[in-house]
Amino acid sequence: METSLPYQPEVITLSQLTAGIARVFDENFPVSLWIKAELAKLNHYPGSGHCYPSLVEKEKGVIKAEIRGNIWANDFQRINQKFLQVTKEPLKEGIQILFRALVKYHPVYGLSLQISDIDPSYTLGEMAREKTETIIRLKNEGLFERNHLLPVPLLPKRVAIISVNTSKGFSDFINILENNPWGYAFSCILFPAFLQGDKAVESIISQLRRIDSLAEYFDVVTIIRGGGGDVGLTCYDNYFLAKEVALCRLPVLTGIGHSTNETVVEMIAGRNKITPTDVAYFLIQHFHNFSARLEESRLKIVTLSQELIEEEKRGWRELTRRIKPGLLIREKEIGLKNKSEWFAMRVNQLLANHHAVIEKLEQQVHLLDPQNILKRGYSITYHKGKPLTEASGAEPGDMITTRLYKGEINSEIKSKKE
Amino acid sequence: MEKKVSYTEAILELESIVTEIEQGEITIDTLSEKVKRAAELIRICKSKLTSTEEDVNKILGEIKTE
Repeated sequence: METSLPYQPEVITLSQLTAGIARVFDENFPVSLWIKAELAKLNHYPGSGHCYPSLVEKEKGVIKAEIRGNIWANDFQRINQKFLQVTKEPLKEGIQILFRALVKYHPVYGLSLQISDIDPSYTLGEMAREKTETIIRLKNEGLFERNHLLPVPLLPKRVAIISVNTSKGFSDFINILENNPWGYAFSCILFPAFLQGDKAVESIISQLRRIDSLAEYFDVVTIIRGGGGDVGLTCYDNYFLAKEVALCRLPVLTGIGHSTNETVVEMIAGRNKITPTDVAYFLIQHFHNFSARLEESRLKIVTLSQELIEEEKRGWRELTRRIKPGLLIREKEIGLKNKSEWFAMRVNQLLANHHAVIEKLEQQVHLLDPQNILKRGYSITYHKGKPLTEASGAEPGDMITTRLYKGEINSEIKSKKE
Repeated sequence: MEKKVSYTEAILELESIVTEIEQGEITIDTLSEKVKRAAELIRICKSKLTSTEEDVNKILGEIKTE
């Protein structure tokens, strides 16, 4: 409608405006572009299968740019599959992505990026970069070596296990400890947690904190996982989880059981044994070492005591041998029969007492006799004349002697595992 | 933790008895005493390998109250 004003601005309808805006976009963004941004929110609707992600760019934690996007269901399926294959993670919030999109302006829904593809190798590269940064950060904070410096007790009997009771890794681990043929006794307590995926970080941190508050009741902490495939393990590269492991007051042993590269948590943990079964064997080996030390001492005491006893006996035999002829001579010479008789009786008495002490000693030593132990199949390995309790004390090519219940075997070391 | 320390102390004491005997500082009379003590230490250490910890029940109690 026209009015009689001296100056009239041009008036348009909203739809005319939006049509104009749309034209501008069509002209300036006619083809799809490759864009990098952070996937702040995924907004996947399981009903339709479509996603309405929120893309952002941050600088020093502050959002610099933000746009809504959309991924149609079949595109999302395809892209997600690729991601699982390449990065071993599904598309999820917080990751850096390189995506291909058309800039669309819709008269009703406004501006959005229609995403047709996302490059998983870019994300993989970003994940690797973050991992490197996390490692550097932890090293700078002096946390990288911390857990390695904590000593594992001589007998790691009391074990805190972070795992889940449905995991095959967990059942293998527990089986080895609880059914070991040597009767070694372990006290294990399970602290259940999510071991992969986005809930893992928070879950494991929470259990680590609980265990740390109960640190005086345990000797070691173990993180045990296995048998579930390799997806969702980037949680073990997470800075906060790694930091929590580094700060733990107990040595942390990891047996996460996967075939990809060593994760940050595994680098930080006091000992990384890779598989759950190896963690179990590691604990058992400590018991073996202790047992071997005991055996060594026991053997020495038996051998040394027997030698000492023999020496004593010899000494007394000498003495009595020398006394008897002397007695006869003195008898004849001095004729002091009574005195020599008294002397002979005295010596016999001393001998009898001494025999009693020796007998008692022999009995005690007999109780320590290692033959019974060796009979059961134990053996003692000697290297350069001393019992060998650690693989690090010998090298391939060295000669070792294995003492069995009956006999000895001499062999040359082919390989070793420490 | 008393329990934790005693098996470590036990094995160290045992090994020092062995050294004493090795170095020949022992007479036949003291030997008997030492061997008896050694047998006891060995018994303590061996039992540590196969006995379960009473601590376990304590912890279960703590956990339940959380």
